[in-house]
Amino acid sequence: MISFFKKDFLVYWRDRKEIIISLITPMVLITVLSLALPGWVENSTKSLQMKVAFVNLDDEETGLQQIRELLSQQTLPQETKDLLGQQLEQSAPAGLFKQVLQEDSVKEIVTLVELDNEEALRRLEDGQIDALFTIPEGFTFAVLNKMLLNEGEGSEILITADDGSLQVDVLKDIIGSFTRTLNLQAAIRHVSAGNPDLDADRLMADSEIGGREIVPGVKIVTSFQYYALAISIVFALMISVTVSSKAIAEKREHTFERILLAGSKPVNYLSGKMSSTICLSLAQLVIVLLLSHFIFGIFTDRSWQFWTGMAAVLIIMSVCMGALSSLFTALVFRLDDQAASGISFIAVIIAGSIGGSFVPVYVLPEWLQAAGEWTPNGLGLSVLLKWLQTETINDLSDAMLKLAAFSIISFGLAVWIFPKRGRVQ
Amino acid sequence: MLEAVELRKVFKGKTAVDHVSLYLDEGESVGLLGPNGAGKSTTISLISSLLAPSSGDVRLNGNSVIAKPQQLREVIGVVPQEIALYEALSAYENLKFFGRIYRLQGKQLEMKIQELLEVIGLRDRQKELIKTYSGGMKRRVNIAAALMHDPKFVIMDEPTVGIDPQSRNHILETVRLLNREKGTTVLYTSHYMEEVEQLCSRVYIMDHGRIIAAGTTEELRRILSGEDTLLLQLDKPDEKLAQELRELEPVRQVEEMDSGLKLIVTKQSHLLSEVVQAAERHRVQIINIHVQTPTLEDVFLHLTGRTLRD
Ligand SMILES: Nc1ncnc2c1ncn2[C@@H]1O[C@H](COP(=O)(O)OP(=O)(O)O)[C@@H](O)[C@H]1O
Ligand SMILES: [Mg+2]
Repeated sequence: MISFFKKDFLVYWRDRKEIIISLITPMVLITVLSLALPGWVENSTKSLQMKVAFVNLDDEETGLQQIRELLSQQTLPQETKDLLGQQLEQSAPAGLFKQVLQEDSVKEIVTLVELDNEEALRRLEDGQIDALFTIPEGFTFAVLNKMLLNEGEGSEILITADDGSLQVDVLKDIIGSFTRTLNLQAAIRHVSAGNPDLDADRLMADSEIGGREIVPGVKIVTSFQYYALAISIVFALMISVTVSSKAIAEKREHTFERILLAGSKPVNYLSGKMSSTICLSLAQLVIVLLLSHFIFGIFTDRSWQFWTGMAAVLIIMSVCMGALSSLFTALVFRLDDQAASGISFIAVIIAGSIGGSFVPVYVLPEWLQAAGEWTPNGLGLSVLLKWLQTETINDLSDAMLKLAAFSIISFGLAVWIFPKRGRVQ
Repeated sequence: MLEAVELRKVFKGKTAVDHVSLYLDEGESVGLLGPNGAGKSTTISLISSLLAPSSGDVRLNGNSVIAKPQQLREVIGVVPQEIALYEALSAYENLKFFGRIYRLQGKQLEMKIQELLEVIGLRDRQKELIKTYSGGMKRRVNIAAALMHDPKFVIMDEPTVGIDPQSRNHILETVRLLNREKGTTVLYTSHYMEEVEQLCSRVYIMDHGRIIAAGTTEELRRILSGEDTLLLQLDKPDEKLAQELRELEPVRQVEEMDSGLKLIVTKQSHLLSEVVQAAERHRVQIINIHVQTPTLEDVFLHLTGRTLRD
């Protein structure tokens, strides 16, 4: 197998024209497109705006009343009891959450409507709203019980949305930062309860609430980032076609007959194409992205977690390209040359277009965007764009599983359709 | 022994190989002779298991190898008519790859590569890419690639077409070495009579997909024992003279050549004077007359009425 890898790798490597095309052209395209069409990408990713319903199933008054009763039964110094009692009114958690939603930075993104449960669900289904926050029954009591007395399990605000989009990630972030604020308050209260010198309100003022903290994960995709990813990915896809097209020469120049005569197995032959494509497309992706990074600074100030995640996606995507290359190669032997290269070419054009490699996905109709995520390049691009914005590991692992499945299926298919007779037609 | 039994191959209604039977005894050097399109390459593909025959059988030591060619593939080396090499790789890299897929490794592989490069005389240019080689050098590497696994049978499909005389001699020398010194069985395909006459002890002559004659070179020449070949060197070509000679009773074939005419005639004493008279009538001067013993070329001409190089 190693010998097939070396052979395929060298044959491609010696083709200087091909190497130059796969490195220089993407750099030129990235520069030109990013400068020419920045609005198409940046405006679209800015518009995270959404309509969200606020559904309150909780009876705040009852909750507060219950807590008051519990408090009076506690064996705490009267002083502390008074202090806590005073603050209860202001710290009703549902109210605090609503305050968070009124913050300017959140209002930019989230338009809030208060609705009852049925109405909210109906509108969600109609697509009039994008998501809903639900404050569950007993929320006030459960949260305060946990917060003030450290009893019970606490409670959670629920998000309902019909797809796991970027917008939902944003909502999760809002709740996440709200919860952190509550926890911080609780912690401070516990400390100050035992130490009257500490002024809880002063501490609160020092801690960061609101502002940028509210939507910490979401960043806007710049046109340079978009095109660097989109273009390098589509060129990786093209490498898979180029490597497989060398099989046409092997057929025409009869080197493949020698391979047959040596009794080599189709799997070995195909894995040569696959492994060399993996290396070449990965090298291409890494070089183009790093060059873009150093020239245009597209990934400055990113964490090692970001780089690791991106590397993982790039690797698995290269495996996909390798598997595709073996599939295209099998087509060369199953069909005649023209038909095989025609099919591969059309496949790349279609996958490239709906996968967002030529024009930004955002300008495509929604059903095409959805279809695009069924192509390895489209899925890879969309998951990397999400990763750029939110760094949510779940999205990443989902997509990587799909890409792995795609690779296995493609390679299996390639082996299956490759002529088995061990003879030329 | 490797034998083809009644092989037939039909491509979309066209019969390329028609009931061809031939055999190779161990250590033999056998020629397969025929003009372009005769079906030689197809026959070779059938014998070497690259094509499945429409009917007929290929047997190695009496066992059919059509269904399971693996056993055969281990013992044959095929030199295709085309240059079946990776142009982007060097001679060394090509031989290494083809050796590897025959499961050669390490020192053994390295030694075999250098040995063959020595034989084909390209040791000092082994690092250069195939695409920078001349046609003759490519042909030599093309042969070496088929010898990496020391095959018992080597089948060569026109290994000398379109190359310079030096490379050609080198290749003929290589074939001779293989056959005489290493005892390799050779099936040598060509449309050059001289090569086959030089190299091979037995010859099959093929035309239109069929074997039209077979035997040792001596036996084949005897087909023409009742005939002579007359070479007439003339001062200028003359179409009408050729036409008139063709109509003479004892003349079987007339072929126009660069410097005159080639006649195949039945042995007859008074023919020469008739030829001279005809030339005089057409005002063509005969510079030289040569009576030749027949060659395989003549045999082919006799059998088919055409020359091999048409
Ligand atoms: N794959 C093929 N499909 C159709 N016809 C073929 C094919 N291969 C060879 N032929 C035909 O078979 C005949 C014999 O060809 P070939 O074996 O190449 O002759 P040779 O090697 O003696 O020149 C030719 O007429 C050729 O056109
Ligand atoms: Mg031929």
